[in-house]
Amino acid sequence: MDPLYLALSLFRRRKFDKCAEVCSEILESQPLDQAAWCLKMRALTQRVYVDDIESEDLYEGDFLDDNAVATAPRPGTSIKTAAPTTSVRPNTSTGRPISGVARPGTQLRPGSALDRLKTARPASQSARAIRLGTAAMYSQKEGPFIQVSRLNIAKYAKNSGLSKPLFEYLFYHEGDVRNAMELAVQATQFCRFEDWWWKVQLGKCYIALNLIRDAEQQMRSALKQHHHVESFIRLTRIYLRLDQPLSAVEICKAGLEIFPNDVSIMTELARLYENLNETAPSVKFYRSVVIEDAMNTEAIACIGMYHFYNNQPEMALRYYRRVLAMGAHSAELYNNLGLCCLYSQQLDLTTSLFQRALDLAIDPLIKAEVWYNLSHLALSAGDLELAVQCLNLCLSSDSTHASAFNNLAVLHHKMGRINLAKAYFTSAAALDPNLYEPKTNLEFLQIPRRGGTASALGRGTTKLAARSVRPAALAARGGAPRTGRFRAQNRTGRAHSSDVLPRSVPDRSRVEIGNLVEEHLCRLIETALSGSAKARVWCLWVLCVVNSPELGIAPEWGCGGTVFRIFLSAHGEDSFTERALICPNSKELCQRSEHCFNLH
Amino acid sequence: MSLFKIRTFWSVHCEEDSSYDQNSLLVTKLNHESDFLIVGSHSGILKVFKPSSDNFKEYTPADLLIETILKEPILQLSCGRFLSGSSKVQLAVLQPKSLNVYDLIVKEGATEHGVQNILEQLYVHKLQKLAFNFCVGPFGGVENRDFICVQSLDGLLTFFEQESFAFCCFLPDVLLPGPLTFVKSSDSFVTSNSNWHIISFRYKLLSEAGQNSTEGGNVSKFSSDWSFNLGEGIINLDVVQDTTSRITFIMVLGERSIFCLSDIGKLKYMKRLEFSPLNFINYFLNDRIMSLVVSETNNLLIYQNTSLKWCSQLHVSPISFNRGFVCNTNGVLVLLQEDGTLSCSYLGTEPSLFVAPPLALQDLDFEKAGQELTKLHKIVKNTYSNDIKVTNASTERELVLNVSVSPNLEENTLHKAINNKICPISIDIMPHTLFEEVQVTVVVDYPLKVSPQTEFFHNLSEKTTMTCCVFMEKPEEVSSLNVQVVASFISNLGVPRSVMKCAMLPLNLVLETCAPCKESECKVTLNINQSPVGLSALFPEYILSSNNNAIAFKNTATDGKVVTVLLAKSSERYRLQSDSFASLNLLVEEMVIRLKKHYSNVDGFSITSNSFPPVNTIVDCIKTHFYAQQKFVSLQNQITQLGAQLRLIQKRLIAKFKIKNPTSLANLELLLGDTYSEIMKLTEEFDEEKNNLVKSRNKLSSVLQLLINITKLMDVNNKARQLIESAFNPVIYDLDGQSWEDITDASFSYLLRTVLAKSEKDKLRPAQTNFEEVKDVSKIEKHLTLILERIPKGMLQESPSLLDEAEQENVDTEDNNVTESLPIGSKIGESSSQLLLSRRGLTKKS
Repeated sequence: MDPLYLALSLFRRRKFDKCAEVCSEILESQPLDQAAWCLKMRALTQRVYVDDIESEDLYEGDFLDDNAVATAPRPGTSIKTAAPTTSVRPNTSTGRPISGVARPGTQLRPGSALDRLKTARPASQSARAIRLGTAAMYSQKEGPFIQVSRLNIAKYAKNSGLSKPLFEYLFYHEGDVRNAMELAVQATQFCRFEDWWWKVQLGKCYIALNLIRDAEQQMRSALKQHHHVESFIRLTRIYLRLDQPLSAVEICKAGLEIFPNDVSIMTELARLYENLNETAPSVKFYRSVVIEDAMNTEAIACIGMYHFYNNQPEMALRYYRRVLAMGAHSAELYNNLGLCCLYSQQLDLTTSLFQRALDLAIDPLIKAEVWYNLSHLALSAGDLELAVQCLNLCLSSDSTHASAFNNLAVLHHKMGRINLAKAYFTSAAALDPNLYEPKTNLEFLQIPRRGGTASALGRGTTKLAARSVRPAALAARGGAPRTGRFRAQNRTGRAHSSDVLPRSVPDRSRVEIGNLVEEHLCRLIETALSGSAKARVWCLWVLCVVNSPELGIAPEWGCGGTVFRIFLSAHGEDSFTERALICPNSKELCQRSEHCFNLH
Repeated sequence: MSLFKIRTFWSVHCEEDSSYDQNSLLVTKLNHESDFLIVGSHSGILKVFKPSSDNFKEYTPADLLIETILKEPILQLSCGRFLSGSSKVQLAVLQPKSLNVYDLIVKEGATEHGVQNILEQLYVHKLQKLAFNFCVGPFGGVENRDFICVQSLDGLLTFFEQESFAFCCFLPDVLLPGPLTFVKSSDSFVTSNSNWHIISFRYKLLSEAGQNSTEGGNVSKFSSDWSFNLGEGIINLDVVQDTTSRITFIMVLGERSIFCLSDIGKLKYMKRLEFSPLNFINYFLNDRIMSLVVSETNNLLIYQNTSLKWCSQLHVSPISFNRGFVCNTNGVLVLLQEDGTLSCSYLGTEPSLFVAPPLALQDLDFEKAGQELTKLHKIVKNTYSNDIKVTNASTERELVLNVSVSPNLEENTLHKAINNKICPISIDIMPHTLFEEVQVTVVVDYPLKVSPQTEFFHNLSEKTTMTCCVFMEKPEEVSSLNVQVVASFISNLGVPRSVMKCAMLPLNLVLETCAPCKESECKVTLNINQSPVGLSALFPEYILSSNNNAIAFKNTATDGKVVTVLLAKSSERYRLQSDSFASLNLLVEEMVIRLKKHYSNVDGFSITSNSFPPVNTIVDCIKTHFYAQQKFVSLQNQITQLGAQLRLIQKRLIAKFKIKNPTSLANLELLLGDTYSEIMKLTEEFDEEKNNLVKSRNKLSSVLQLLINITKLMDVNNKARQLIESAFNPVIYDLDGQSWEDITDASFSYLLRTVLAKSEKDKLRPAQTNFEEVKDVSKIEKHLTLILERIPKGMLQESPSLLDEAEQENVDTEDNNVTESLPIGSKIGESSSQLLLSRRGLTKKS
């Protein structure tokens, strides 16, 4: 058989190594055989080809970057200022809302852009390409196939049959963006800017060189000439890098008009909304994806997670089971299934699922997450000791797990080891500045006699609400437990500990209370900003402290027993009955007071 | 990943040691009712199969109808009406140098096994060039006949009208031949080129060009009908016709997507694939195009236009596949693997649920497990739940450090000792258990230096000695002769621990005697309550006459000021005087130590002093340090700014260079050079300023040490003294974003608000909870002055009581403002005991 035919056949059968070998043999006898040269190039490229749309990293802003449009964008117009989530869906360590699947963008390790700039090489897209290039080069025995430095780029740019394979070879195999761009520039000139493909490639080069605006221009021009799904997605990515999610959404929608129900564009859109913290449209698009492509693991996992965080663990369970049925077999999946079972009361399955998850977890980070979730299992079983041990195990796998530190601290505090608790809170706060629970808890610990402790810890355990399982290669992960049940448990056990009350209120002069109010108002604003309901409690508390002794206004009961008890302990029961006579709904107050005393 | 699995009911392995390709399989009826499966290998073996029409029987040898060995490799198989005057269908086989047309003759016998199948060769066309592939069809709109078009490896199209050769022509710009199909509706050929375009040529144009070239001998140019820029490599081409509306679609399988084009080259739809496809087939069903795609990951995906309708797992990865009418069933999947395994399969609708491998779990003996659990619980409890284990308390028992400073100095020039004097130190490390890793670090204050500073021990189990030596590195005033040895290790419980030991260096390492000065600006007086001892007794290492009442020291390395120690015998006083307070500290410290040592067996001995260094001196030192620090920071900022500027200019330059129409650089290159030289200049300046800062830091440190030493001698409350000592932190660190002043100012305001509060107003000062950056040195100056005024005035007499009360964990003291503003963390331990107390109080009441 003719060697060239053999090589072509091997290429078709995706035996790229053998194909390259056959081509080398042809080239040895006929060094100027362009067909063999071209085929070898394509074989080598295909061998290392990685879908660069999927592997693209989510870019984080360089502070020297002059491409960003606004330095202080309005809420909702930027990924960074996306509307803060009110749901219980936790954030990743980089502060982005957690997603149902692991993608390059969701796997960033914490650390600011500033930190990353301090390394020798600034963050750039080409890093991965360079690595690919070196890897490819390493596997070649007799030196590189093409000496890029000796390449007459101008000549090849004019050869329409060779230029495109050569470009892909330079871009993907060699990772040599500069020469690839040189080729693209000359080739696009040669075809009088009529070939959209070259424009897209130029755009890719510009992105790799961090010249985003130029890339945008090229992509837009390419889209004007020719509609291609990939061009739409690339343009979307460019707008994401420019931190203009709204423009990105627009592009996606324009793409959907031309390619209705295209899975790639809809997935892109769903991810975008997810990043913007708008879960409802995100899930809507994921649902459309599933209608179009029922085998889309990403969409199924994301919908599953949406249900999980929407208090529908049974629904989530169905989705995750579907993923399992499709043949995914990973620690993340079992972990999520375990969580779903836990919250949908199928306790018999929970432990065995977690056992499987532990069995499969090899990556210490995943292992840590599984142990972390197991601690919630222990909590819901009421076994605090086991929970502490689970958290300790979690920390031994991943010593940077901030949520575990926080929860451990809360548990230790419950057991009365306050110093230890404080140390853990501090480390939790230091490990993840985005986490507000340890900060709030620390604040409460710092004002121990303000009636804070009890409710603080109440809240703290609410904060035990945890973060989800971290990403992994395939899909299906997500679930992080909320602590609905645990919270309830805690409520019942709280009555005693709220006795830690300030007794100083009646001795204060008016001025001092004024100061106090001021201080608490500050805190109030702070907590209100962090978006928690305790702001209201604080507000009433403050009002109560100001008003009760002097004005004779009884504390409002709705704000919780704490306030009331402060009042009570400050005045003693005599004054309480007195007040009860004065205040409008005294009857209820009296009843409450009896109840209160019974508790003591 | 998929829910379903393909079920195979008929399978045969064709041949060893041969390979098959995309075009090696043909499924055709060949004038019969059910399909023949025809396979041709690269080694030239042609096989015709026909699975028996019984219900899904497995392969039997009778299913193989014909096996012929052709000498040349078989590249492609196809069928059509190739025999003139016959309306029957024949088989065409492409080999590298020839095209053969065969007829399959079936002679029915009396019984089933009597059927004879004969493959009869009808005619052969020899080819000029090595063939690549071919396509068949009614070219030019002929009725009831099929013509053949063979594409050679270099792009020559050769046309055969049944038995006769028609013409040949070259396709333009062919580098590598691509798939070729004939579109009947537009009477044109569609193929791909290396430019990743789909191109279409009209048969009419090709035949005209072909006639010209055979007649005139010159190859005339012809242009394509249309072309479509696909932008990726092409794997396969297919043509689908809508049976009702007669519309034709061209399906293209690219390396990353599927495209559907109309027969005039307009995109109908495209779909990006998330996997690498191997091959596809298409057919038309219910007004929709169905595409079957096989992926590299062995999945068969069935698309209806763009939406996925079915996905099924294949157990093999077929190189070629087709639908066929086999076993009286329509739509059976015929799959050909690369190694020649031919199989007939159907889509299994029963989901093959994934069954996870069972975990290797043993049955538990509950009693045993329970015992083990309690045992483990005990261990865990001992390890984790004990706060004390985490603290550093019992470290001394695990590892003992002995530091001995040699009183005799050595002369050595090897180290960079300024005065050639080095003081050897030997450290004995005595572990009581085995430690895997122990790190010992020796710390001395600038300008002293220790070498080697750190030593690391592996698997330390017995007594080890580490030696190092201390020397003066820079000719500067020495602020302290203290040497700290820190050993850090992980205890056998896994808790990090550290042991610290301090020692004093000998005085003569840094000071030497000189002639005393009579008068000096700065004086410190030390009073003792015993009869004073002579200087010669205090400094025995310096030879002095016994009645000498004065001794003077100066730094061995620098222009440091002379410090004179005078003894006033009558008034039980020692006076130390020098021109600079910075130089005094060392001797004050030394004197106190020596005096205490000398009177160590006298009860009630005390040293007092009231000679507080003047505020101005301290303020001056702080100011120098502050300004140096500010300069340092501003230089840092400037360098950062210039660095950013440089990057911006570089960016700008790149932008300039890549513009298509080159413009002038607009002097950017000058700007670049200037910025660079500016950065270099600033860096040098920065270096200098850093030295300055270190010097000022050292001086400030000396003065602060003196201040603390004297405060120690003053008559102040022990607790308050500790607070003051920690407020005037003599170890000065200037960190990024927080300098010594920031910290000190915070502690000053704390002191002023609490222990040193003078009036109620002071107590109401707002608490400074965070360390703010000090912008104005006058504020800290004011605070310092206030503090220094209040310390000697006995302000502390009243206020410490406040503090003590607060410590008593008395519930009643809670109304004091002071307790509220205690430093963060100092009171946390109380809350639990308070909890108990208050609960007790409440129960009493109720």
